[in-house]
Amino acid sequence: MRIGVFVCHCGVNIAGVVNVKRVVEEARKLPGVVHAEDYTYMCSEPGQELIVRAIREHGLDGVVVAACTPSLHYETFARAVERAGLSRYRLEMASIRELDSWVHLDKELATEKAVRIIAGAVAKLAGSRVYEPIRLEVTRRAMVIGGGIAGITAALTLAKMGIPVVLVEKAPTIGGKMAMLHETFPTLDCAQCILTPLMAEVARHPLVKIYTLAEVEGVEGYVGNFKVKIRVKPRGVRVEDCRLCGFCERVCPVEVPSEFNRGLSKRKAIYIPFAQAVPAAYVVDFEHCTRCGRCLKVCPTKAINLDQREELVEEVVGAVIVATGYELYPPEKLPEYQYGAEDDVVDSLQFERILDVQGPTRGEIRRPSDKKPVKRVVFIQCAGSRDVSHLPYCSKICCMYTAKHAMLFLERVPGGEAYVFYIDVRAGGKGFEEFIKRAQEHGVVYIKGRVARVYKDRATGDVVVEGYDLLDNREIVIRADLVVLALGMVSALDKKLTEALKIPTDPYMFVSEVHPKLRPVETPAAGVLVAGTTQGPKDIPESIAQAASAAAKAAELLIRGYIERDPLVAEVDRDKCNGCRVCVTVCPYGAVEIVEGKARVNEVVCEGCGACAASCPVGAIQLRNYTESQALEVVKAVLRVK
Amino acid sequence: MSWSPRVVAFLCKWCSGAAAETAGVMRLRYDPSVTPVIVPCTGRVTPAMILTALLNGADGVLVGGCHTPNDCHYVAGNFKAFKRVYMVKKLLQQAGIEPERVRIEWISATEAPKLARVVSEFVEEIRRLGPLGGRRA
Amino acid sequence: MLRLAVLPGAVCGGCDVALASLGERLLELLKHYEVVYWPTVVDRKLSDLLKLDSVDVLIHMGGISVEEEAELAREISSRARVKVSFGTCSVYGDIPGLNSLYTPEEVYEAIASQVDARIRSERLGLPRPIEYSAYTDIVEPEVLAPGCPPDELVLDQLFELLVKYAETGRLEARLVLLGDSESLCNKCPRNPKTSKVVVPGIKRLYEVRLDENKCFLEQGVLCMGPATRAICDHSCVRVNYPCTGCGGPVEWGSDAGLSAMSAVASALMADMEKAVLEPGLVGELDEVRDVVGSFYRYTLRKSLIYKLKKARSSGE
Repeated sequence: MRIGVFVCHCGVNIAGVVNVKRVVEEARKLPGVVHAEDYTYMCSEPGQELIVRAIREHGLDGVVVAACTPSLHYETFARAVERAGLSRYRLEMASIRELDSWVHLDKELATEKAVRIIAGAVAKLAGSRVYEPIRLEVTRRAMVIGGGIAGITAALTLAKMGIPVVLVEKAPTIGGKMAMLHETFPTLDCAQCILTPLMAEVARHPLVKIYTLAEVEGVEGYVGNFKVKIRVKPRGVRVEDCRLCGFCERVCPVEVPSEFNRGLSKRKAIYIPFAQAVPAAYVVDFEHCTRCGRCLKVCPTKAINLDQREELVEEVVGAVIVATGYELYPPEKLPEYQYGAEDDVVDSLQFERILDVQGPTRGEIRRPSDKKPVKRVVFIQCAGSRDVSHLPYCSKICCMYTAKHAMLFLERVPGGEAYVFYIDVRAGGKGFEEFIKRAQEHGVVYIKGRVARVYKDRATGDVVVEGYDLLDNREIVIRADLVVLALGMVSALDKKLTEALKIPTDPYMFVSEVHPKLRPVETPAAGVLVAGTTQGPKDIPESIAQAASAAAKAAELLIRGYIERDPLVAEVDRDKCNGCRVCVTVCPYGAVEIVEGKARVNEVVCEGCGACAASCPVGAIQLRNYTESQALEVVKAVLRVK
Repeated sequence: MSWSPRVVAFLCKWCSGAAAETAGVMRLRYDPSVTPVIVPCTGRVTPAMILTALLNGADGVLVGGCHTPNDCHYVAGNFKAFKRVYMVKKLLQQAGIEPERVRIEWISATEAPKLARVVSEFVEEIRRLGPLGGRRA
Repeated sequence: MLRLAVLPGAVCGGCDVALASLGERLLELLKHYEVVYWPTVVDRKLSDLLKLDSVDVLIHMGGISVEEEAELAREISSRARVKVSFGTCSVYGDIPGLNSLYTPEEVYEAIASQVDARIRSERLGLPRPIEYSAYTDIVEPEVLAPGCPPDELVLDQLFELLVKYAETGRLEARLVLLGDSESLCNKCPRNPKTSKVVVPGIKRLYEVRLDENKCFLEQGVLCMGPATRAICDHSCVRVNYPCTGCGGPVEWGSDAGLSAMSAVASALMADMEKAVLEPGLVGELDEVRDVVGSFYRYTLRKSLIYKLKKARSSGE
């Protein structure tokens, strides 16, 4: 051991309190230290030169710089020692400014403490080794799971960077929930008008490969090299041959509720989800198809194949973006609202379909039960949200889209009445507050209070809403034609996918991000990112922003073709390991697995926290540069002083 | 020679350690009897580290981590530390040594004043408890 | 003919039974060794032993609890070429080592207040305990053969060692640890070597319908297997009883109790920490009513906590 200790004055910041000369004297006495000196500003050019020269002249194999906090100048000194031919892992910094001279007034005690801190750093350094950064070649390809607006945005962003993308979508078409929307707040843009060009662009892009009717079956591997198995259900129609003529649809005898219209209309067993679907082709609903074969007879291009089987394909990618979107909270859990389209109590997405000119009522506001034009509509906000018995959180977008719904309703229905029952109105985005004001100016009536009961009066056909008006402090009963529930938003993720990707979720299946403030699109699983409502309730611009962010994070990993990681990770001594699995259990990243009976650390996934090392009953797994023996030596060293 | 307490504080790099740095930047004052040992995560702190400190002259050990449930940079290292420290305290109690000599606190990076306060309070507590007596391994 | 002496310290008799269970192999040993002392089995007196100026192999069993045992152990050891520390009492202190947290005075008072031995109404005196030690605390043996009592694996290896020593006059190393080098989980029939080992809670044996094929820890039952050196072929585990740690730490370890405690605490409810939070975790951890008895049943005398207590009591 030939350790050099370099004590910085930092002008008077350290030297004004700590007796630097005495610290140097004491440092010389520490075991392993062969050289010690001080200087006014160690981080300056001459200061760094001092270190470099000392390493060469005294043959130092380890350096302790006692100065400010490592957060500031670790890189500076690391590069300096590397210039002198020493590995940066043979450098330790002892913070005697922020942790000592800046917080103590007693010079004597501060000086003693400085020596203790330096003694700890010397002891740690004495046990360290040299390491090379870990370099991993990656597959320069990404996967996006979910073809909604977030998934499409992420895929396009990556493709435009030159990174090939595999987009996996569960439904027969991409587009997600946004395709169902009529107009979006606050600009009242036509949703399809802004979405369909993106859908076409992503489908056209040469670097994007889209699987529809596809779900991830299993994932092997880890960041840089994920082997993803995808189960692709049969479409029954060859996409390249389908001319969208619709003859098959006309002759099909089977009718089932339309998913796109949320059950408000029917579709056939061979159908196209909506006119602008991508891929632009029909699809066979094999669950309901009776194999009567009538469609086969009329298809002019013989594009239909009722014997098509599902396929299992495998794709290898370096990073995965999860953008599986949301679902609405199951309204059956709110029996007080008596949800049921047949009884004219619908959810917000169903109302979007009613508004839409391609919807079940061609854009006329007619209620589902008897197609009677709606004159009076009641909107109930926070249906299931902000409720400890249901969803404790706020679903963020409902106040805005309810205002939108109410406003569009009044525009379509002259003389119509729109009531909104609310607890609060949350309008935090750009132009949002103004939008709410506009709705009120349009004549939307806002009632602050909750609805106790909704029921269909069979005699009159009215939907009766019994609520409470808090500001007027009275019960209020409204007989409406239609009631719309602004149901809370839940994640559409399922356990199969989260387990396959090893990503943690909260109890509502929203993906847990690494850090909600600083790292909102990264998951603890290296290489797996999240975007859109999968991470939490949000609107379209936020989903797009997150998707681009997730794409950037994925590109960080993929764009150079390799990733380099800090080698200070955990490592296993197989001779000592007994395969007890405690380390596997405590690792938050799933970075340790049992291979041939003993633990093995995936160096690329390990983040170097040391939880495994501290849990091992026999000390077989250790954290590099913070082994148990190093830690104990540090403890003994700081207590040995004085 | 009058006795002064010797305390070792295991502070995690991301929260309590960062708070200690900020305390420096803010020029807060606290008792110099505490020697900080920065760890990547309190989840790295073992019972052996704590007992070794007490055995080698420390009169008290402070473990400073990130707030539960969600602040830990490495997801749940703080929970691991909590459980281990809890068992160490039970062990100390059974051995007739004051469990108050080991304390675990959650101090976030933005809580520099809390760090200064906790350190000074803990040293006072150790002063009240008196020297542990174990000075050599 | 080499001389073999078996010297008991504070014993329960189990190690005698274990050593005697070598059975006919004892006859094999008699080809090489004369058993100059073994109170349980051979009719030689202590005075006979003390007359000998040397023995080749000393097998010491039991702990050191009174001055007489300490003196004898030291004396005979100084005359022995190879010293075997036999049984966990001898190697690590074993259960009487649990006395280590108390002073000899406290121990004496505890016994005296409960024991009333008389002969014809005359109260008998009790021996005064000294600070309890393992044999290895006062002598540095060449062979460690732990187990409470030593099991087949160790006995087989001891037999081989004694024969080999008789034939070659040498041991394979300066310090020989009989048994396997890794801990019990390495070859445990209940270790699936896949998946995790989440400890769901801390349960007493009677609170769990024990699954004979499942890891004890996964059932919430404390098992010292992960931290305990395999000096047996999982004898307890095979009869559906968790390992209690009589094998002591692995060769490179020093405090099996502390590392076992850390391992179990770390794995406890590892998948539910954020759901149950600190109160939930404390609720389960408090189910360990006797931390020392659970994790240090056999090795307290060698533990950090013992050293700390001792340093504390001796003051400074």
